[in-house]
Amino acid sequence: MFETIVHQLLNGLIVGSIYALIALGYTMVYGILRLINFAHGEIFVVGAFAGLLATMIFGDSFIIAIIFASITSVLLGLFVERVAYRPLRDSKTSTIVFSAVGLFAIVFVAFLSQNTIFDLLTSILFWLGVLFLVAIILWLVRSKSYLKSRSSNSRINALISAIAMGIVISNMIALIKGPDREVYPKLIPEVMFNVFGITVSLLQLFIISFSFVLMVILYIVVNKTKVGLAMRAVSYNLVAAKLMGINPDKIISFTFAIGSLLAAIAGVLVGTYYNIVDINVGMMYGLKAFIAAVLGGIGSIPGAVIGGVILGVVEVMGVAFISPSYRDAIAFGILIFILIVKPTGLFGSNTKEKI
Amino acid sequence: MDFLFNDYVFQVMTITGINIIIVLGLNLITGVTGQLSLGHSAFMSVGAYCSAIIMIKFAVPFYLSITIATIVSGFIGALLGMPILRLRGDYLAIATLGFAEIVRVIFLNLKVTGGALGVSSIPYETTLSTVYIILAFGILFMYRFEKSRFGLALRSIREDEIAAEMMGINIARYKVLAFTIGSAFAGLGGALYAHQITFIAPDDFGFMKSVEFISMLVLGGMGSIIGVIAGVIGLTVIPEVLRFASEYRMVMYGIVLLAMMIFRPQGLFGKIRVNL
Repeated sequence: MFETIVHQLLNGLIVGSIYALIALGYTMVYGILRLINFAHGEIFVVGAFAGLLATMIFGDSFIIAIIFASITSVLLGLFVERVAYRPLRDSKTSTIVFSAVGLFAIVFVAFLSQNTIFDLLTSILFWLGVLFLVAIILWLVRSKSYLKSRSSNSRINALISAIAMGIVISNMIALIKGPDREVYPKLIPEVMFNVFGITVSLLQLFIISFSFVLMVILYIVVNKTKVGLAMRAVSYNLVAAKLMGINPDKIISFTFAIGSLLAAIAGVLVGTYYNIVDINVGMMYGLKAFIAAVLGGIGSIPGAVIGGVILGVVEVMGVAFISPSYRDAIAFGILIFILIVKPTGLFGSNTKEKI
Repeated sequence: MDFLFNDYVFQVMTITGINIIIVLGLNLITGVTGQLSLGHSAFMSVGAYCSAIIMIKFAVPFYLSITIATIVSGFIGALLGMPILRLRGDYLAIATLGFAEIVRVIFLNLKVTGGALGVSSIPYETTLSTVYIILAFGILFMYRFEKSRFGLALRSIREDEIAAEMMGINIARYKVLAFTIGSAFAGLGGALYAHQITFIAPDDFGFMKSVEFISMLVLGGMGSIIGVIAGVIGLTVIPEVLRFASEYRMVMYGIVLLAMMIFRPQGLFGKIRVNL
């Protein structure tokens, strides 16, 4: 009995540190933009697949997989921020950026669909036509009043934009690599230890300690460096930070980059731990990590870590001692419970609504 | 004329009507009262399962069965509304999302709902005319409701909660009221859906379904009944037209939504913008 509990505790700790790594991305972005980045779970999946691709090309090396996955995810994270969130904050460049992205998407979709429906040229022309029509409709209905007052009360639009970006990325992954699961190679040698009668693998120890080291580094970056100071300033008051000579766009990009980096590392770790990677897990991991962030108090970095660990342990314990089929219900039950009892989470600061 | 009047077109039209009923409910919660809900599909599933099961088990008449389903969904909406409606903005959105996931998992594990296999061979009762007669009453109800004192109170909550409270509006009560009626509409739509498709499973009512309803509402414009109708028709018909390119359908859907948010965030017919 004791052994089972300790074993489950260890499992929970591993799941929890993965949740914590993803949750850090949510919590930092929320801290600055007050936006739930629904595309974050997909960035995690892209990281896992980029790592897999790297092992296929360069052989089974953990470090190369991590580097390759990180670069891919960071670029994607910056792209998402640039395309889906920045145009909602500032209107100046949105049309140009969106047209460029639209053109790119058209060529890409055309390239993918060339064998199924038309040849490449017809395909490009067809999708260009679709884009042109959409552009004309958008131009006809574009709202001028909105362009004048892009104030802070457009958060529901940002939220929907985030969800839309998540849909686009997850379906793009499905288009590029097909809906099948993939076997993930073991990137860490299988060595077993015996600690006080409990078997622990090197991989398990590695995941926990590696996540812990990353979180400590992040904590130091945010609290002790100049960039971290700027991040906290932007999070505290974006306009005032701008007046102090900080470029909020750069800081926000930096935040997205760090969040995506951690998500990519989490993706590779999950892949190598379970030896399998599925394109559909992004949404669920994303939501669970988000619950972890809310549990710890959204916007707080230690909170995300503690929240992730608590959620992981409770979930694994629930699976082991109650019923595996209620795994998701347990996690969401925790979410609703914490929201009703203490909406700001364990470490969140309480802000009073001003009139 | 076969091109226009065949079973396929009738079915798409029926589904469009059902979706309009459901999104009208969401419009009351999100568009009129300003409370973002990401769990609307849960109430649809409650209505669908409720009507399907009581009709199969107890052989009650169709209209009684959908009425019961509507009342049950409304009741569950009220029950859920009471604790969570004091949350605001993002927190409310994720709480409703969590509730929807819990409902899905419960349906997935109960014996009476058939687990992952769902409920099949539900009696086929929903015809095109039934849906559109109910829809006409639904639109009339919503139109009158928004113009009434209740509607005015709900709109004042959307515009400024604190000011509304100062004016003596019982915010908690009105929010629960909006949630109850909105959920009842979703349940009604769900019941009609179950008797149209004749087969339901928990995965038909996942998070993506809620996102679809929100997208319809946002595309058409929040707080506007014309907008709801336009948004639903747009997002129900476009996927059918793009069926030949079904693999790229969801990508295009996402891009359309994204473009809409960037270039015309208040939707096609919307005049207002909801504060979170």
